[in-house]
Amino acid sequence: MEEPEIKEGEWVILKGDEIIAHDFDPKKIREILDERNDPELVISRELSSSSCFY
Amino acid sequence: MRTEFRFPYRPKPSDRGKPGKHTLYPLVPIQLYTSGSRCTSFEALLDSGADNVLIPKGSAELINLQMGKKIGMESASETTECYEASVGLIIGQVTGDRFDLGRVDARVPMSDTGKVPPLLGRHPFFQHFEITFQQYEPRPSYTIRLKDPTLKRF
Repeated sequence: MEEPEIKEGEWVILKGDEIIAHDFDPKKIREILDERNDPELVISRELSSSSCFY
Repeated sequence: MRTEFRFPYRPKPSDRGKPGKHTLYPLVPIQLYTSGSRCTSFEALLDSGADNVLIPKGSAELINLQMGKKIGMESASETTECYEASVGLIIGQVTGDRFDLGRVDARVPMSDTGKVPPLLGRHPFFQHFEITFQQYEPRPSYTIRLKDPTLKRF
């Protein structure tokens, strides 16, 4: 099955450059981090080219 | 002891490993922590135009960050409402050299319109490191040089 496309603003869990999971809901991201318990997991965010930086 | 670290600009997650030209960003490996929580690793955006550390609401929820007083925050185009907060900040990857800046002042915007990752503004990051942006082809990168020898390192 094809991986759903990552949308702008989604939180993305990475291990190196491998995408482990992505979701808009921080609670789901936290659950996955806790389940995996892997210190090498990093949270990134799918940036928009038109992002407004404060 | 190593005091200079060079990091390549990185594309957004979905562009990594894909051929072609992508927008690249100065993303900094950091860990955030609060009292009673484990460190959580993030990619933060190095933003020399921002005064402070900015933690988007979603990141704040991820680390269960306690919010303080509500204040106004000036951006380039508007005033937005945000919360004051204090968060533990470590610079560097879990697998490499790391520097603990301790608890730093941060802002948590009430809205998430920018859809940004955590932003690393000038305070306090630029007080401990000298930063050089090298945004030219073929490999845009930034370099951080440690200027504060008292900074906790591990």
